[in-house]
Amino acid sequence: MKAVYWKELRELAAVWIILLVWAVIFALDYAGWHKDLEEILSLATIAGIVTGAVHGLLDRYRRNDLFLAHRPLSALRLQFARTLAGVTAWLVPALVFLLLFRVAAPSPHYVRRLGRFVEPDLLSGSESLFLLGATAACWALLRLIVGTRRLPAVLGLVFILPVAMLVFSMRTSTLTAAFAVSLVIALVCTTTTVLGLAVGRRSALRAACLLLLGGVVLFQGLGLLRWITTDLLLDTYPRITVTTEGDVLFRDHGRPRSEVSHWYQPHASVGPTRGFGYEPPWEEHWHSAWSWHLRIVRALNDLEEGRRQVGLAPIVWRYEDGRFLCRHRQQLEVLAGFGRGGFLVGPKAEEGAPFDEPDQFLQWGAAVFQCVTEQHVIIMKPPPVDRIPRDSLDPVRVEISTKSLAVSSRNAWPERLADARLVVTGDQMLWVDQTGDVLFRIEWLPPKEHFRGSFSIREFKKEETTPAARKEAARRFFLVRGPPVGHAVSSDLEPVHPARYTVRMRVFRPDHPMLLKDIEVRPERGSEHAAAMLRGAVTLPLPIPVAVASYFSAQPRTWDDLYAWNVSDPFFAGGTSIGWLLASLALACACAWYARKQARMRCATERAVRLWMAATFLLGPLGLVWMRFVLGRETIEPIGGARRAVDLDASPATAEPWPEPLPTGTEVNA
Amino acid sequence: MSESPVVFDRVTHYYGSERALDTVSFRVEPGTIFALLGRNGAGKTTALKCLLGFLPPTRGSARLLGHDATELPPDLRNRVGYVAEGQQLVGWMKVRQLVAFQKASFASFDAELCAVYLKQLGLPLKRRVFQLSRGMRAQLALALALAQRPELVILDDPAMGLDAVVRREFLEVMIDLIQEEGRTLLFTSHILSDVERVADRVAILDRGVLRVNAPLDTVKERVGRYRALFDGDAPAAPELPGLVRARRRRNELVLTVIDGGGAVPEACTKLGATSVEREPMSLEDLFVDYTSGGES
Amino acid sequence: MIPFRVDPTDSEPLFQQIVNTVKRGVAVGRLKPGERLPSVRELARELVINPNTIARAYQVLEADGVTLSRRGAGTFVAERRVVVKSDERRRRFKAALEGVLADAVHLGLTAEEVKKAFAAALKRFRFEEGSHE
Repeated sequence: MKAVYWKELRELAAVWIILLVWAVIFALDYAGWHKDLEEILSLATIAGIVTGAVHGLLDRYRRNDLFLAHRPLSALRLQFARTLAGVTAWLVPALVFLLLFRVAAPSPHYVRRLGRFVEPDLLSGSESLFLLGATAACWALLRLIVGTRRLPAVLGLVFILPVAMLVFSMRTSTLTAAFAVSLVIALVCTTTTVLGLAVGRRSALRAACLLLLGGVVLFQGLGLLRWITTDLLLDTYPRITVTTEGDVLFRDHGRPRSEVSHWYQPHASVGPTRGFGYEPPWEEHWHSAWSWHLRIVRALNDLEEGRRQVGLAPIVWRYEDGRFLCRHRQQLEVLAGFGRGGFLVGPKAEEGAPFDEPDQFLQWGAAVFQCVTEQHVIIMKPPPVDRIPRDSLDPVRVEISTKSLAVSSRNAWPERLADARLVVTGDQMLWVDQTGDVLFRIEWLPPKEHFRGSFSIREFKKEETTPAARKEAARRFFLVRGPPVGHAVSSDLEPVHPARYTVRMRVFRPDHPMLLKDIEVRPERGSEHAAAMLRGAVTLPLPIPVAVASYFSAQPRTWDDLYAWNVSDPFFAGGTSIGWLLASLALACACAWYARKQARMRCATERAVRLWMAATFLLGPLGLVWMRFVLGRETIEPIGGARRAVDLDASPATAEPWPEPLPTGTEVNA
Repeated sequence: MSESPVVFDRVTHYYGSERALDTVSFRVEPGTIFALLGRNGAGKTTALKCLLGFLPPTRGSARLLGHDATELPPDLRNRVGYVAEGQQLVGWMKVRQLVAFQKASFASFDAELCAVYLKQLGLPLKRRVFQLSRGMRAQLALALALAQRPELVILDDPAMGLDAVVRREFLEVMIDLIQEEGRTLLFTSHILSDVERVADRVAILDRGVLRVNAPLDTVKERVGRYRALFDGDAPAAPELPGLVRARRRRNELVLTVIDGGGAVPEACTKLGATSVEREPMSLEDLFVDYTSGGES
Repeated sequence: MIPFRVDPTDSEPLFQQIVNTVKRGVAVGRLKPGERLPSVRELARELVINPNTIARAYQVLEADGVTLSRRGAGTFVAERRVVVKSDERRRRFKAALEGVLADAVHLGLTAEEVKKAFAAALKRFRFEEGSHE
């Protein structure tokens, strides 16, 4: 096996070189331009998948396979030798990448908070391993899948599908997903080996395993499809619906973000907006508090159109007892607050460390604004002569001095800041109280182009007036405190009826009962109808029992019902419509008919044929795939000579001896 | 009595719905040279692939050195030397690297013997395989297979595209091989004159069906070609049992018949032939008549 | 020693060709009794044919009494001795003769030509003296 390994490794020389070049480019690219780490990891994982698939494909078409195959080496070991060679070929460039990365990257980079599992420093430990592991694992897996086309392929698909889903949907961090892949690959290899060696070709255990795997793949796949169709549906409803209830105005923009407005005072509300809206219980507490909403607006010319919002970051703040609380990924975090030492930031906010330590502010900035920061920050406070007109949010007219400022630790601050507003304009961020006094200002320079999604805070050396220019490509942050109308949450409901799309709005107002409004959006145009239909289409290939159960199971009446069911099982709930159920039945019949044809060619008895027909009818397309894997393709045992144009119904089945070709009288056998 | 090294037992193979082998049964006795003949696409390579375990037959079974071909223990391959069609080797390797590669893979590889072969063949060790001429590659492939000291040697069209000198050398190697005790050789070929020289038994595959499976001498004895001359135009061929092929040309009728010693002259004379003669028939003639598929 | 030549493409089996060659050689005296025939290996090599064929030929020759094989030493031309009974001999010869004459008729030879050829051939071959009644 060693000989084959070295041969394969040498043959992958071209691949090595390409990967090396790629690794160098990646590393320099990242180090030079500080791309988003998650993006790099996604790309690396994808690269692993792609090259693995390509290598597997190349394998299938190798011309000297017979030469290689005829040696005292089992097929399994041959494949492992090849895979190992490929993994080695991948690891070397990966190591080079990491080395270069370490060398080229000038300073530790902060990364977006990824769950809470990851240290911000990339190279300190697990991330680099994850990177290696993830890409090599993806490579090896794909190579095995594409190259061997056997049971490992099915196993691999089962494990890689959900991981891929996670990675690409960014529902979890890339690193966590990569970690999952690395862990799972060990499981896959072990299971593959065990199953491949221990389970014979035709055994009930193998068939059962295949069915289980097939079922998992089906549900994973359908889940993914469902998610995609939901998005599609949401994207196809770009309308604004306006309804009123009492003195509350509900405005639904059709996109997964809605507005609830009071008659005279607009305020925006946020809430979970995608897919299934689950609201954590602590949101209920918000109804009596001021709600702060942070909007980050990124666009050119948005000074003129202050309200045009592109790329909103839904972070809700709450100010409570001198602390600013931020809702970040379903947790409440203390980000900043006023303590005895002044305005404090970061997790140490409660400990009273002084504010002008850059670290704390950096942490705060990084966490809140998702920025990549540099070393120093200057906090400035203008003399009280500077004022911002109270109602104006138009920062064009604001001229701001740039003198440096010392932080004061007056005790008066907490009370005053209860009503403070944070206004960001041009390249400055101002804390402004209700009278328009600027309490303090944080300033930074225009962000670098390549710091996508971030800004940097740098030491400011000069003192000069910087007027806020009109068409600056800057970021605008508005922290707006809403009036005490209450808190509103909107969420999308899973459409109970496939053609309707419902948004539920809940408004919490102090001294009022909760107001609940479900707005139904009906499809009007053809494309909307089509999108609504698509959602039902996902249920088409379900096994018949599941489809029937879904049809007959009680339709969810309330949003809470739906949520509960959706978590436990996304398919039984949902109330399949009769149309789709009939379509499923029709599909099942078609599958059964096709299965009959195939089974007659592959099974020895009529009873087996009938069993396969029944199984395929019940399982639908899953049944067909299962049949193909269990019965296989190479070991076709035609019954009765269908291929000799003998009538299949008339000829005997079972394992009777295959008839010899008719002698022509010209045979010479001696 | 131990089993023959190669046994085909009613092997049938379908590629999709196309039938490549139809209930092929034969065996190769140890110490003999067996030639499997057939036109391109008749199923020879399929049969060999089934034998070597690269292709599971749809029906029937092939047995190699006493083991079922679909469940060959990997170590068994040490005892079988195989040269695949097209002289497949690893192109980028140098000759000596390839030898080392084979040596590492096969336990029974005799490096000295291989060196002797290579010297005999005049193959340069430093040259890369893809730089060698076709004939040299074929010789190299054969040398590598033989250096394993295999009990059974299987050659799939070893002489394809080679010149007469190299072919003659191959024949000599085959002959040397068979001298040694217990060695068996199974090969396929299109060069029928070569086959005639060395084969003990021949088998002819015609579109997946095994039509001939007998010692060469027997075949030549039993299959005869008869030329019947007529005064006018030759009539249609008579109904004869064992008629392989009939060709009509002007006033001649050429019949290839099995065991036709007595019946043919009689039947032809009945039709009005002026003379009926049995002609000498080479294996090539025989093969063409068997596999050309009908009357012309 | 006689030159061995075989024609693989001929209808006649190879082993038979070798048998006939040896027999003819012995009959015309070019292979003397006690002379050693080439070994199977040598002959196979020289003629580039299957050694099994040659082995078979040698077996037939031995069975017919034309040659003798001695262990380890090789195959030698045997002393002429009668192994076949006179009736059998005559029958065999008659059959061969009739075959030859039938061919001659088909080839269109006259009886005169046949007699001439016969006489010439008689001179070349060495026959036993006397009869073996």
